[in-house]
Amino acid sequence: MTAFYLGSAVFLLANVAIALLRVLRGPTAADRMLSGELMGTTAVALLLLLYGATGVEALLDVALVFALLAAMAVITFVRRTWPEDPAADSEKEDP
Amino acid sequence: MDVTRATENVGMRRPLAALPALSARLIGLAAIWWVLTDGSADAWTWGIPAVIAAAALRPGLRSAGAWRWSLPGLLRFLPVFVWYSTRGALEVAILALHPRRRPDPILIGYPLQLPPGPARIFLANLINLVPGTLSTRITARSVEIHVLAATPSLMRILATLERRVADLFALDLESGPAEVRRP
Amino acid sequence: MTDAIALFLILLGLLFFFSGTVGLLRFPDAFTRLHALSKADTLALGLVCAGLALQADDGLLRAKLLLIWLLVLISGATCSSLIARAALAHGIRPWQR
Repeated sequence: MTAFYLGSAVFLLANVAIALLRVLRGPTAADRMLSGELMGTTAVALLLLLYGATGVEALLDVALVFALLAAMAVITFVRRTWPEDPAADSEKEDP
Repeated sequence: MDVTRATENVGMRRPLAALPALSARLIGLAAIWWVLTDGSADAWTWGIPAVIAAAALRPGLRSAGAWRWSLPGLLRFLPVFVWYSTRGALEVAILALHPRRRPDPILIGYPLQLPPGPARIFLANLINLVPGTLSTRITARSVEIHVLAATPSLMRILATLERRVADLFALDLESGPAEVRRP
Repeated sequence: MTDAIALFLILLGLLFFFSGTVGLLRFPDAFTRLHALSKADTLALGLVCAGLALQADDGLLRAKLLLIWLLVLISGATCSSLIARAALAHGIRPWQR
């Protein structure tokens, strides 16, 4: 089972790498942020699989913190860096 | 039913009436702490003050007001939720992996019958997990939904979901068929 | 037997993660991509959690896995709506065929 868990973790890592393409391409800030959300979820799954492979229970706590941080990142982004005030919006988006 | 009015008063004017809600929060938070610390006995030194503080202060949740939910409502809600979210994931996965199919999205307004408050927000969050729908904005009377493809079953799904949420929050809905309104 | 079921659940989860990533790349705008994320990835993580919970030998660990999934479920659903609302407020119009 250990090899299977590690293989799955590598697969998820590749998934995250592909998702980075979306961050690069954008085109809007929303697209970049939602890739961030995907990475948060994938990172949680990755850590869980690493727990399955190694049996280190602390990894579960790391996964929990990751889940929390991913949510915080999105909320901070929406409230602070991309507030819903058109006047404060300097970044122009593609149509 | 008077349930709606009763819930608005709980915890606001009569401190004693808030006791069941407070003890429910205490038990829930203590259970979470127990799970988080893997049942370690030492951790309760920090756990007891943390649980009491969180239950009493409700950080960030005070503005949500008081609400209640019903256990039978939850039991009726869960299968619907599991079925819809599985279907939602399957549909979007097929749409993503299919070589030729493309989404045909549209924004619609769904008139809400749920009263403002936690139940509405809960429904808006739920809509994100249901096949082909993504809630974008809640206005005074309706919720704006981004739909992947306008299917005939969409309105039925949304109405079912709203009824289940009302059931879960022990609310009584005015019955009457919902209509689609395009903004 | 439990191993086989766990294996199957996790593989299914990986498939959903993969379809979420494909959707993220293929779908035409931020809103449709949010659909792919909020649905596929949430279920995918649920399947991985279920697979691991089957192999866990202790009820508390299972509860912890469930807690992690619930946290991601709730935050994922809320964050999707937040991003969608912010995108609309910034004048990003949904893509139409």
